[in-house]
Amino acid sequence: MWRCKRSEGDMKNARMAIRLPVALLACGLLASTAVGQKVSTEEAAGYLVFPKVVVDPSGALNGVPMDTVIRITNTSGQPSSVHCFYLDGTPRCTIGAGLDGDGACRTNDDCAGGGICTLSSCQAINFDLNLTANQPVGWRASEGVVTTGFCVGGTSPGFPCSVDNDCTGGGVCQAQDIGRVPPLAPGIFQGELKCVQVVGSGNDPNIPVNRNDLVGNASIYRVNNAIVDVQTYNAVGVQAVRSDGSSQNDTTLVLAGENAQDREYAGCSAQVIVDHFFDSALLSAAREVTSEITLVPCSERLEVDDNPAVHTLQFVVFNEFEQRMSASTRFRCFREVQLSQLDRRPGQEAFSVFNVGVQGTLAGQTVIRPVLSGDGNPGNGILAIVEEFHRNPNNNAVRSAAFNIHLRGDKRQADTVAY
Amino acid sequence: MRGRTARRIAMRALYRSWLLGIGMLCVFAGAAGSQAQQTRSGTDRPGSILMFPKVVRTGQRDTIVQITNTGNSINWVHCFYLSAPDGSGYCGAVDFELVLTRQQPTQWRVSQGRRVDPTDSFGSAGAGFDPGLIPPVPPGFQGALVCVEVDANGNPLGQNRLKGEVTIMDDSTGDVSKYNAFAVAPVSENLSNPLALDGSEYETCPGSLTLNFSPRGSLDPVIENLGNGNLSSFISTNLTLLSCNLDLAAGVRSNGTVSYIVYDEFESSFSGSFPHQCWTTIDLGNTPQTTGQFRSTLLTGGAIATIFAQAQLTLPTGLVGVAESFHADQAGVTGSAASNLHTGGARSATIRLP
Repeated sequence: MWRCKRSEGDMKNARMAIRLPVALLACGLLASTAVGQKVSTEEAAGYLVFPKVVVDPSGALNGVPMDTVIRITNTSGQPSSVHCFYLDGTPRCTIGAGLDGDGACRTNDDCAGGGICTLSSCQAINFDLNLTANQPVGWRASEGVVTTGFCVGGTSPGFPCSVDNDCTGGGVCQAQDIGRVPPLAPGIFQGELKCVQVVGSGNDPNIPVNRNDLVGNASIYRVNNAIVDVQTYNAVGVQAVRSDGSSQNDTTLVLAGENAQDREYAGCSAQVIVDHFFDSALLSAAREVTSEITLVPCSERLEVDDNPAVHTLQFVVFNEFEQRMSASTRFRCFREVQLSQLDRRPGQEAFSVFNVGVQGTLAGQTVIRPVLSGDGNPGNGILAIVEEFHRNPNNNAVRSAAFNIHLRGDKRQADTVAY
Repeated sequence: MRGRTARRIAMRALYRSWLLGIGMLCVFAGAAGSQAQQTRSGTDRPGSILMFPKVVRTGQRDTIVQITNTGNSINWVHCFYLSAPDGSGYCGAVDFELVLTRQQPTQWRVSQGRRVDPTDSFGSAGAGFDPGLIPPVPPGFQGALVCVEVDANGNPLGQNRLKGEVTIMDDSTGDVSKYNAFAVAPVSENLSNPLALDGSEYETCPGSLTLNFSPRGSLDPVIENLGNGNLSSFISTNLTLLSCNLDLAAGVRSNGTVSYIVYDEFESSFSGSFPHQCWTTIDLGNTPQTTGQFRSTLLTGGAIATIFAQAQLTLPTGLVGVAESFHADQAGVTGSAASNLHTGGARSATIRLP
């Protein structure tokens, strides 16, 4: 009896001894999931979105060649593997060679034979990066990364190379292989870049990992022999809910949502807010401003979506008189548009609610709200950047700047990114 | 036997108390973690305190400030231009007040300020409800702008509804760069002067900053490829920092040291530090404290062998900052771009209003 009791007591003690580490483990799990992760343009994250990447080496789009420099930095002391996707949002002609021989176009006028300039889907191209501890990397989107090192010394230090002969002025090629990034030139590319921090090894190396170590920014250039115009914006970082280094279960990223157990990443905001000058506002006699917004969805089925969902957006616009007007628009997987063309056709910008001729003040505030879909799937969150173009009416010289939009509120509906 | 049983019961009670203690610790840790993550300020959400680290009126450069009330009620705002003209560490403040109606955006060019003039013509710079008299800054001004939501009596009020942007323009070349103001949201409804940016009254300031940059003197790969480069293009970066510890009543004097580690693409690291006052602007790689670590090997004394690098700045006190990069071709044609810095960690700070 005594033996039996002692045995029972020991078992209880043993069970308690087991419960202790289990409790500690659960505690760690709770602590790692309890933190308030968010979508942000300034904090390191496990999922980065660059809403706009543009390559136009011939300058066919607006007369000046364009390229984008992309920078991604691993802020961790541990190596990081990254799985990325370019999404091609370039409108293309249904008939005709377009501006670049591959159908790229701005309007129907760029398409021969009665072709229509349209964007029906965004094709994805994926690639992988391997970043060492604290490593910053960057590349020209037109050129990609097709080499295995960087020049050291000589007259072009830091330029990509594979052999010493690639380096000018006596430089040597030092090996540093970050992976391969496909070049987007020749031809025209307008689209976005999405990068996910992944496990990088095992049977499925592209499974997302619960870490938040990546920051990035992109610089869009308009350059020729007489112009240097550069604009920079920060990539939007979507933080993983857990940051414990564990692997996720599949290649579908769940951004927020009502079911807390399903959440893998922070959620896109319920609204975005843009402060802007109204189009055609004169900041001085030599400075007329227009703004372009680039919209991308938070939900996306990468590589497998021939018919991306339509997103409907409502715009509420306020001027400096506190007067309120509204507009709406729709887009699929990518849309870059001048503000005055959100509610008016090209050529009718003077009648837009985004035009200074309608609003009467220089500055405005626009609140953009994605319209909730009834079925809850797909999600309807959006991300965006805004570019400001300052044109000198005296000589038509254009300079530009990009900036990140503001986010407000939490959206109940989950967004998903699947690949 | 009774002793053993008693000991066993005591042991069980001890285990249970441990489990209970761990559970409580767990709840507090989770809450604390959540608090620490949720209460840091930033540049992509509205707030009650706006910090514009870089406002200039120098040479041909001028600045347009945009501030917007994102809420549906009236918003009183107390603003301060800060500048440190003599480099002594003392930041003088010039203040003014704004009143923004619901959802009202406003803007002004700092060289001109903004008058209260209801006769401003349609589409002109002064059109719209004038938010108040805004003084112009003098030629040569380099400094910061700080704005705080207050009530009608000037006491701090946390409506969390302000957002802002700055556009820096070069009127000789047409060049333009733009960044978002740093916004600090209130955490509590009970706010008092001085403002405590400690996570319990207002959000905290960043504890570290991350800057993606190209070392001074690097060739610009895009200019070399598309423009007038000829292996003579030139990248430089200007970093501007503003202290979160501000005594706007008695002037600001907050000296300290910013420590940094720079990593290049080869993962080589270089460390150093530079002094910081209430407001600091520094051409990275062009000062004695940053020559090697922020300068390309193409220039004398430079140590960075790659075009892309990151700097992690550790702060003794709360700081916010903005970077502006300049990209020049061989003829000196230059384009600039401003960007907000990436942030991490948390530091408490105090702002004292007059």
